[in-house]
Amino acid sequence: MKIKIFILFFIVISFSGCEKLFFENDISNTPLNSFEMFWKYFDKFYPSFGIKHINWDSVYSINRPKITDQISGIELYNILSGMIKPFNDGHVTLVSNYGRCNSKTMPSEYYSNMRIYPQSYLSSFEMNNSNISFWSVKNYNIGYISINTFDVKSETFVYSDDSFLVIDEIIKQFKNKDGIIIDLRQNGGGLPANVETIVNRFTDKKRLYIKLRSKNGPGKNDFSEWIDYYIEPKGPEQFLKPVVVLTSKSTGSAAEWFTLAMKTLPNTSVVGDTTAGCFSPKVERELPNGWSFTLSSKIAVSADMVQYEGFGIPPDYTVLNTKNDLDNKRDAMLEKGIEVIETKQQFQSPKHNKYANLIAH
Amino acid sequence: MRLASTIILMIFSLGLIQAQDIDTFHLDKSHYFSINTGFSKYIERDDAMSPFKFRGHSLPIEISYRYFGTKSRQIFYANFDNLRLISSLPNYENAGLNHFVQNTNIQMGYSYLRKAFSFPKYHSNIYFGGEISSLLNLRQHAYIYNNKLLMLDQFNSLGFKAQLEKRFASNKQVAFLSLNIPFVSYVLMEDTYNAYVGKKIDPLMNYSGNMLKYLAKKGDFVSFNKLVYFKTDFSFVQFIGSHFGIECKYSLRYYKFSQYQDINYSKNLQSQFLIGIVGKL
Repeated sequence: MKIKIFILFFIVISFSGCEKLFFENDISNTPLNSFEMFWKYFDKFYPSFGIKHINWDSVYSINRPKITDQISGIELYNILSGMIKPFNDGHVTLVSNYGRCNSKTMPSEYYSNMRIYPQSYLSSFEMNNSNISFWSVKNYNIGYISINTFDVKSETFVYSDDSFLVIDEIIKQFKNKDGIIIDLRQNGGGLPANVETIVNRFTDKKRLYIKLRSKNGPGKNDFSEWIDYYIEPKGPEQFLKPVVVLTSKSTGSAAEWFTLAMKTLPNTSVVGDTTAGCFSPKVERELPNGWSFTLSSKIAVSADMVQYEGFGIPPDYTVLNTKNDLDNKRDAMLEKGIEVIETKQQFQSPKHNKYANLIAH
Repeated sequence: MRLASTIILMIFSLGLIQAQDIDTFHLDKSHYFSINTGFSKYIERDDAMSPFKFRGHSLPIEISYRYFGTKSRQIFYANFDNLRLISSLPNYENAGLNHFVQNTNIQMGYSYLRKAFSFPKYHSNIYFGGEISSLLNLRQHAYIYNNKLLMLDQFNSLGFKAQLEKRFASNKQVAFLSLNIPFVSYVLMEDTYNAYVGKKIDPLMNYSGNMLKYLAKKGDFVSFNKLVYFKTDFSFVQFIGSHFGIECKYSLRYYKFSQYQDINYSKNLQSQFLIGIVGKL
């Protein structure tokens, strides 16, 4: 009798499965559910509707009547894509089996995000696939560092890349240079940990460089407190002479963190085009139909509370490469960077400093 | 689960037949060592990562040590599982949309129990005591183009444990039914939950280096208000000789961890059917 009770107990547990007891049903795969989930996630978590002047409720009102359960996949894709296009946000994308929609697209015939004939300007220039590479500028005592990404190696659980520590070797080699040009024109971002690894080798003291806050609730104004991020001197030595950062519209995300951090330094100038304006980390989500989308989740401001999210960081010297430059194998942005460093170097030369001291006295 | 039930019923039946011919077998003051494997079923939902459930099956491994004193019981166990969880979402691999979660589960526990009630007529005892347990549920959630984001639940818990122990016609068969309910836990990742809904920046943003080391520095004590957690085991041991036996075990574990009230939570249900060998000293 008693053993039957045990058997009965076991059968009850085994066969019950328990799933329905503890879990709600998944949202079913219908066009309407996908639309609603898509709209609600942005409504709940996208922090920059105000900055972008987007009335998301109005977007719903316009598009909701178009959605029926009979709508085709491609029609749904076109509607959802149309909803996010006005964001012009590099971190807002929709990926489906019908294609990928990026909210932010490059202008056609944009030449400012490319190195034009680098072998004309750089010594022993060779293309390589590393995240960070460096050369000397021909005919000048200037170093050149190209950082293509701040992304990481695909090691599980490790989210900073030791390969960026090569910066210590670069600083050692460049310590007698008059200045350094850091090229971020093709850098679409990565992780801030790698940003700080580099910038920490250019600062003489701890400096606040960016503040972030997250959307942390369903209300339009539900934001966390500001979180501060700092750079501080690290590594065996720091390079404190003039630095130029080259930027373009393709300079986005963590590369903008880098630009913002370098702008806090008194000896740094930004040359090129306004950056992408997408500082926020992105979040990925799925829809019931198997599509995925990404959205920004935070708002960033500079140390002095200037809002660059959505606008990008304007350069100190605006210079764009044109089709004409490309045809003539001329990199106008790089040339301007060289000019800025040469000018600063002259002002910082002993002769100039002597005059400066005389004036000061 | 039907297969599991069928197998365990067969073993029960085998035990009943054999039990009639076996001499009295003493369980007191003995040491049991066991190793089990079998079938594991997971269901998981983590709102911070996805609003959808992910399910999977795997082959778990469990080792355990049990000390049988005259009035006490001590149990140590370690359970390991590694599996891929999939959802009901359509996959479009050519578009980089392959929805899955790579899941690793490690659970360890030590419990000390004292005899509270004895029912000689029914050859049964009830033990009460506590369990110290540690659970790591590590998840790598794959997004677009298999871009994986790490999430984990890690609880170090102190809980109440009760165990019913029943010996059948001869002491060659013994069954255990236990329930462990942690009432206080030290939980990692407090306030660092990935996601935009957190009070703080997601963990990817404000640390460098090894994420596990980073996360291990952050934690808090929680109780039933944030962590609902229980584990129940039903085990049946059939001794074939004086020092050797076979064990069948069914284990059910559930937890719901609410990082932020009404904003996100992770839920995990694990059911395991295990079969293994038992050595007795």
